[in-house]
Amino acid sequence: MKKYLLFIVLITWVFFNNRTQAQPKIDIDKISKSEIVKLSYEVLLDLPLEDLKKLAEIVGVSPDELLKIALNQEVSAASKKGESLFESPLSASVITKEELRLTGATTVEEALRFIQGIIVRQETNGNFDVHIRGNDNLPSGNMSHFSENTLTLVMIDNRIVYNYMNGGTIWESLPISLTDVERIEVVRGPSSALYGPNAVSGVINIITRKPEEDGIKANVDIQAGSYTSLLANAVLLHKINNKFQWKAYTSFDIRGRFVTDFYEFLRQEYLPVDSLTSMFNNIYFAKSRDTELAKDGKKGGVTLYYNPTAFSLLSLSMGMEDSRAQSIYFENLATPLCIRNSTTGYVDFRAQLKKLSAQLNYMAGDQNLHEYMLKPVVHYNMSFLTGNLEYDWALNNLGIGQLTLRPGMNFQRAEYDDSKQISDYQQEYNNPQLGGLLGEAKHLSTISGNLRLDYRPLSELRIFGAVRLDKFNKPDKSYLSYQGGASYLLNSRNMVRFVTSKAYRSPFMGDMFANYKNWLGVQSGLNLYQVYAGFESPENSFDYTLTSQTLYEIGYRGIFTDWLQLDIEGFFTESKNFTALMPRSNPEIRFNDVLNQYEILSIWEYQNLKMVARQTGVSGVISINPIDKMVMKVFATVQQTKLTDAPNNILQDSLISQTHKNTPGFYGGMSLNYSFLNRWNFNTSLYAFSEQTYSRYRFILSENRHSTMSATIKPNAIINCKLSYNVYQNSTLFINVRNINLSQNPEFAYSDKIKPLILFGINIVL
Amino acid sequence: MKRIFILISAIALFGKFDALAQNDKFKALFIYNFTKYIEWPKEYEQGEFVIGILGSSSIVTELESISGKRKVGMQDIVVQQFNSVGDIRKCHILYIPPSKTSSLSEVLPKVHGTSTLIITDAPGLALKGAAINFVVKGNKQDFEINPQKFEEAKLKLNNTLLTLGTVVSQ
Repeated sequence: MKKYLLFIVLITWVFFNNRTQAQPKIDIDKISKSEIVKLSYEVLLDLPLEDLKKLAEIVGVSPDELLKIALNQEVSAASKKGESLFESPLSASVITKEELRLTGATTVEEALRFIQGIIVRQETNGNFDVHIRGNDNLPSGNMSHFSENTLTLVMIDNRIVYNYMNGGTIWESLPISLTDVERIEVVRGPSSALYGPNAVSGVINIITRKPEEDGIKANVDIQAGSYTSLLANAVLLHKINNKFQWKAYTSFDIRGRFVTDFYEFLRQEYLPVDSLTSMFNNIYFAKSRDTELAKDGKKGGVTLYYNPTAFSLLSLSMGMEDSRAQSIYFENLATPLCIRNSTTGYVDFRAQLKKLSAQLNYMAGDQNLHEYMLKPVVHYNMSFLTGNLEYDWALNNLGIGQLTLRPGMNFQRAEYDDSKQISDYQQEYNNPQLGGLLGEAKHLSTISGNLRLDYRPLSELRIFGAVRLDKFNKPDKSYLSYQGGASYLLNSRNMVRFVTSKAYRSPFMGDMFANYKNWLGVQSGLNLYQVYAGFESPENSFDYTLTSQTLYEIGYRGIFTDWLQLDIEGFFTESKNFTALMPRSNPEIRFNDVLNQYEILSIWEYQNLKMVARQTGVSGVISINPIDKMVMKVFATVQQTKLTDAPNNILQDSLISQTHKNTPGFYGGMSLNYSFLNRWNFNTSLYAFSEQTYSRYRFILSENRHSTMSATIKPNAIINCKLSYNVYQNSTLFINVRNINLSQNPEFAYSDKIKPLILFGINIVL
Repeated sequence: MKRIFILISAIALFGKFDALAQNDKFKALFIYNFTKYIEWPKEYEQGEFVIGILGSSSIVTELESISGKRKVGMQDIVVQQFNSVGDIRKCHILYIPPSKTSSLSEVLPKVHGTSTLIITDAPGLALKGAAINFVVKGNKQDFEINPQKFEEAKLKLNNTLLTLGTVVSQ
């Protein structure tokens, strides 16, 4: 009882003591930031606005506040209309420019490690494999490029940057500067109804900055360090007046590899490049001529803006990139790494005229998926044209709540042509038999119509739906994608949601048009050829059904306090109609009318598999602002992928049901930002994943048979740190350490060992 | 793992009492101070002085702290949260937080003809219908004023406010 009395007396004393303290007098010109922070409302409310403004200037906006703002960002990815991330009915996440700067992420792919539900594994210095919720390496036991993610749509300001040659994203070729990124929006789950084909496992939309502040603003970030790494990003933004603005960006990303050896499939060990031998025991011809290169990318571009009225905006962007990267991509049957290069340019025109929005863009260039690869030549010219038209039709006066309809139409046309390069290589190597994957110009096109509905019958309930019908030229079919769901606000701080959706992956040049015949030698007196046959090839005996994924998802978001937020989702997906290049069980002897002789054909056909992949999982993120100046994010995904009717090997001798082990069962991490002593900022992040088993194709020459080989990726935890010192205004000097990883194990099967990268840099904000 | 979780929870539960989001605090103080430079029409001088917030925002806590301590003229200050545009009722000030920026185009027709002062919090919005817009300029909290919007809303503006913010006009 005495204890309680003492407690009450103490509380009363503290209360009255505080109440009766004399209000301090403030000298606005001399007060420090720490003194301002201690001022009570009683004091501040007596100050005139002029003084308050001065105090606010002294306090400034700290990095942790900028990050806190980031936790409650607006996102447009979810419904393609700006909305609160908290209220988004989809599994959406955002990385803001403040997070990009403070975390020290050196690429967009690396920044994706700060979001739940994304598996990001570094293959070589600065080159990453990115998968949303996995479904990677399907079917297992196949070629290198089947480990590539072809199920995610990446966009820059809603402009598609998908690689239609073999599916996926050529990350190092994205024409952006990190200093020009406003935010990266990610939607997990099938989203073709909103974004079109290829948004099967999700969408990553990189939104760039706009010149919104008066006058000229600039941000330059230069860092250099180990492994001959030089990273420079710059953007210049100029708001001339309310009607005219422009910006320009440039970026250089040059890095060396952590190691110089290459994994060889034949001897199953890391070896110097000159000793590399293919699975057929031949000296490997297409070996890298630049063994130390990891990445060499140069980008630049400009955007012009014209705002005729407050609600209208016209913009024209154009830019170029020239990039090379040594990472895992196209199969060569000797080693997983190859150098791919890309030189492309783009023009992107956008118009927002009140409720009507239009976008027309064109991209063209020269790309080589594997330098020195001649069997087949995978060097080509490409172009991609796309246009969108959408109308935002608000029907709020019908007396049934808030209703918005958004009808739209779209077309896309991808054209790829390797004929010129084939001819060039035939002359260069004096070999008329050299052929390419396509052999001539091919195109894939889509025309589509879509309708989106956003309906709030009650202020707490939001119903959301979208349908999109895509008519493809190849296969000559139409596919309907859908996305629908509802979110319900239990109150302003708790929200539950449900989504179901279905999306399709478009065909790409390789699986549709591959038409390649490769002379392997003479067997039993007859010429032996290997044939790759896409669905359109006369040698192909299959019909093409597009790969699809269906999703059912429930989610909850809670703002428990202004310093503790939770976003959690449970998902189930079913993916089917995967395509794969599989050999017929036996070679065939045929009569060749042109050569007037018999020949042996080993035919590999693209085909749909019966395999179905079912994923069940939970993803979540907790955002915490535990103490002033500290912001923390902890996120994780736990999931399982079950396969049914999966081929047991590349010959499909039997179909089996099993747990797919290439997608880790756990992946996630945390990031922590702490500002201290006014000018210092420390950011650290952790990314971890559990064990995985990767299996791929192998030919056993001694037994003359197709087989598989596998590698286990051990559990891994990668730590990154960035310490910054604010020199003046927002300009900082920093040290940025990436990949602190004690094991230094490869993060991806057969790729480079990943070593710490230490960078020293300067970030100038003008 | 369990220990880490307990540690995080402990920091989260006990570490925050002193921490105030300075930026929200100043914005809330600015909003209160704006009322000293603005005169609402006679019919708005009855009853409570309503500061509306669209959606959820941490500024609510700060505004509520002020509402318990000060009045606008003779009117008690009431802070009211509106979950959606459809819920917006008559208010003197409507603050649209950054996360609700895209709702501005729906809010404008809804409040057209009233004397609601629209305050937004994202770049460029003073030119898109807001009377006052919070902006961060060179790491410092500032605000823009569009005098035309005051006229349209029949709000009398003391010119001193124009000298404290950045005036923008279409």
